[in-house]
Amino acid sequence: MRLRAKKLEKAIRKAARARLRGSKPLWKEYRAARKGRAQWRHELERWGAAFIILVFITVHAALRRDTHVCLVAGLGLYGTGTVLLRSIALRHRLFSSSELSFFALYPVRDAQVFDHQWEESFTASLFLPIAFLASFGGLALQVTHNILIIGMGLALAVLLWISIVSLFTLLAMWPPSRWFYPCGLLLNTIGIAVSIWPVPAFPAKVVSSISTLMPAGWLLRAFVEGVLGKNPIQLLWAVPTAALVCALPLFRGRLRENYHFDALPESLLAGVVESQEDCAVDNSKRVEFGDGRANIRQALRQQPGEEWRHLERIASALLSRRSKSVLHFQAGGFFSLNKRWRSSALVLAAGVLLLPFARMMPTWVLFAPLVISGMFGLPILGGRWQGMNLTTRHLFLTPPVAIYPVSYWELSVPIFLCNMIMILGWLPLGAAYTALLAWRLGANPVLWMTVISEVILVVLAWQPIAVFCKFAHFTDAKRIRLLQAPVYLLIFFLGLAFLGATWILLLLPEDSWRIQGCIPTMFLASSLAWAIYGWLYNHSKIDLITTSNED
Amino acid sequence: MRIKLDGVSKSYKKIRALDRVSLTIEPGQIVVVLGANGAGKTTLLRTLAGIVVPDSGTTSYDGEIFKRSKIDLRKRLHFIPDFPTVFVGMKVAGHIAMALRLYGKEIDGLENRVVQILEDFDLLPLVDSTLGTLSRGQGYKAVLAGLIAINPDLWLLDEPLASGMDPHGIQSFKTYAREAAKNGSTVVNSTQILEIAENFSDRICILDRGSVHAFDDMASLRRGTMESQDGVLAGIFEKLRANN
Repeated sequence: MRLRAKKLEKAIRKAARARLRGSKPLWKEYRAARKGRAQWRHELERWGAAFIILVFITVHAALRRDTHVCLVAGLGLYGTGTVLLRSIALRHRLFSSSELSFFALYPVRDAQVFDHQWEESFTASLFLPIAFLASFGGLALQVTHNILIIGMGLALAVLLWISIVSLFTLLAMWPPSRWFYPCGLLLNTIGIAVSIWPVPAFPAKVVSSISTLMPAGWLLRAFVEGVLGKNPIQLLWAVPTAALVCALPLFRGRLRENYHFDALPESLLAGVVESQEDCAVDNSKRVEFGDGRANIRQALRQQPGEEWRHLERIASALLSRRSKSVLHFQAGGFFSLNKRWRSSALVLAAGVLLLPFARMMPTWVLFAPLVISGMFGLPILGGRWQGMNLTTRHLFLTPPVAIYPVSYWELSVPIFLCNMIMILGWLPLGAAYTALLAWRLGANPVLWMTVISEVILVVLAWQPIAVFCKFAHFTDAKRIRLLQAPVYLLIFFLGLAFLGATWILLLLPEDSWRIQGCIPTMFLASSLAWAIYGWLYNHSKIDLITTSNED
Repeated sequence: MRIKLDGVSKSYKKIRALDRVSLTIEPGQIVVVLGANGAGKTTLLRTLAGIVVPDSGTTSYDGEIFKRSKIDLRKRLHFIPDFPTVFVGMKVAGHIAMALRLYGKEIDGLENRVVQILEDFDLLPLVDSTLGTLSRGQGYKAVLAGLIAINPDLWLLDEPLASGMDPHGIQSFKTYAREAAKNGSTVVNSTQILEIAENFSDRICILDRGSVHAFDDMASLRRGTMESQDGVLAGIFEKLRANN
């Protein structure tokens, strides 16, 4: 039995509409409520972009003849990674999802809950056939325009998808190993990377062989070598996949048989954390008021900044007592410039270990530590500040900082300062790694260090914009009124000026006017944008709340 | 539905939420559960709904011992927590239809009653809106409309009057609850508002640290205390607080 009662739902809606039509104001209200809340818009926003990117990547890769082997290998790895990740997701839906507390309120049978949750997992895997259809179709088009072969490719793509569903259903019978998540993520990443970037012939062959060892790679081999390569014996690779597809009802049935909704933890079914929920006070653990007062006194005596170290101390020296308190609050009590710097340094240190083998590897692998380290150490998106994270209050999203009496400048200047310290702290690390990399690859280290310095300069100049963007994600800028439109337009043009100056600085041939003209322009444009947004904020021209996507 | 709790205890790790609770609730009554924060009100309601299982003691409905696996018995009751869980992407009409299906009450002609309930709660224009887009009060009313449409023998509601419902919604809820009680259903709800407890209840159950301190009607509670007419429940609470 399906949970949704479509027929009754339709009847209720029909009867409701008939009643609503009798009253003009109610009908108007109904139309307004329905109009602004179309579910398809939300779904399109959620999935549309992902579909387009996925199809683009796979078709693009499939149509490049030189990536033939890479695409097959990549898809095999990606499929296997997906099996691991989807099995974790299915276990979560069945045994630990917060949705389960809904079912606890209704007289449902185990099988009904299972069917619903499994179907949700199945629906969530619908992006796979799209990617596979695009890839198989692209591969077939490289070789032939024969409709029969293309059709066969598309049929095999669907078969591959169902085999993956079958595999993750099978794996979900057991609790996932702690290696599933990192392995799945790694395989997915390598799979996508191998599909997109051309990999030299030998590593591609190795990856392809590894991919063939995995169930998701069998069908790809059957298609590429059996159908497209016209080698019928290779079609045998499709047999185990077909067996997996046939076994899906069996796996699903076995998992369903062993699923006992009633046996799930009470805390999950009640939708609460046990120890914090409404329950009688335990006498043995009663807190004396005297202790509580002492704790509060101690907490009040402790000044923010006392426990800060190294980079954080530099920030501390530049800030007033009030700013330090604000910063402490914004960071959610965990101020971690040092930790992030250390992580970025560790990534670069790992990169240095790869440098002796630089000539044997694709260049992008050597640049990866620089990019990953930059993600840790450079606050490209303005840094992480828990006080500015959104928390849901029914329809609305509000950050904690919105409800305390702190001004725009009190909030944004400390962030700006900390980000500057982070960037300057990372610069020696990044420059040193770049110089070593250039030396290993036989390039000019001075030239490469100049390039990295220019990139850092852009990141520095970007900071005022990055800081106000931290505010823009929770202030309701969707409600642009006529009088504010010129201000937003000005911010937009300042953004354009910044981008233009960046483009000139990084991409045009070297010239003295580049430095003299572009850098001040970038700093001026981003600082003005920061200030103008501050004016909007401080003059109550924007709400410190935003509505959820579903509205 | 006659409800009987016999020595029901429930602990969360070392914390005892219900301590040997014994109660008998006759059908056709509105019972208000009162108690300080942490007294065990929610746990009592969850136990009655079968969401949590007592460590000891039994709950029986019409003489039949209640277990979560007894689906037919569970179809006779419905519990709404203080923050009901819903599928946020589901429309109001879809939610009510699904609730009716799960209770096996998906019958022809029921849509007119549902429409009437929605109209009484001012929800009719929102019939095609998704639950995730409603305000807290509207969302609660949508779930409550589902309960009223189901019309179970036992209504279990955790703090329905602190759910964000507007005054008209609260009035509609009271009307429907009173009508249900008149037709033999039992309505058990928790609250912290003493005036509501005094005026909208047939019996009051006062919980204190997991135990039943009193279970009586208002008149009997008045007789048992020396407080003035207006402050009976407030007086009981103050005494309990002082003793703790």
